[in-house]
Amino acid sequence: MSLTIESISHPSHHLINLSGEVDTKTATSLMDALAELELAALLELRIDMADVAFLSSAGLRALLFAKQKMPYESRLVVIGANTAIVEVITKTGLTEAVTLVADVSLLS
Amino acid sequence: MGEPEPMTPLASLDREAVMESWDEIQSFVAEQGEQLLGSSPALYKLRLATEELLSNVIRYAPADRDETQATLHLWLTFLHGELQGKPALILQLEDNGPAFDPQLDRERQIDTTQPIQERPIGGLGLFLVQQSVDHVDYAWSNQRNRYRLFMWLPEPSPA
Repeated sequence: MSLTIESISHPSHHLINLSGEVDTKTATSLMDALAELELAALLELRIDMADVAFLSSAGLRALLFAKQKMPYESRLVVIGANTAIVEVITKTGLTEAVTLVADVSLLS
Repeated sequence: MGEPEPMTPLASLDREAVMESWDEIQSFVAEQGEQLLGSSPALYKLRLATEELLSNVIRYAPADRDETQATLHLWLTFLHGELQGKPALILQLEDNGPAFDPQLDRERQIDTTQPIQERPIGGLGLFLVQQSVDHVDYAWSNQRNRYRLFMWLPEPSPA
């Protein structure tokens, strides 16, 4: 079980591409990548999960951690998450923290 | 709900409860689970529930032990059994850490009315365990914590 993380700064947002599985072991790497960002000043963070097969509560905690550090008016976008991951995010009531989009082309 | 009774062992694994065992344990659950449940939403949910329980054992149990005690172990066993009279797959997780009853029979809720900025970071794991499987129970048995995760198996198609 592994997770590959690519972190890219854009003028309008920051993009994190994930590939693999986000579980108890690998979520620490995601937390490290998030901690390196200036979250308090970040207005939009996009996390591409199109290549993520599994997300546990450790991954949810990372998402919540990021959103709580970001400004109130900021946007945390999860792109391309599979049905099971969308269900986990929805079931835990985190859709208030996370904007779910199927494809990056749907973002304004 | 009647007391479920597990029956036939299908596959098992015994590993030290350390993070170095994590990948092997996860692979065992994923591979055996896929053989028994197929690549279904049920497999994802079983993995999710398993991960939450194993994570608690590996992260917290070692803190309560000292060098004189036996090595902390995890035992995982897939069983074929029944739940409410219907065929079920059971994943039994045992550890020899200190007794810890997570009170899985108490229904957990997430307060979705709480503003995101005030939501606690923890507390999602056991909620997801309850939400993911068809039945879960806990017992302190033979000096081990024993968790059993029950997933109903698909009904066989009529011929």
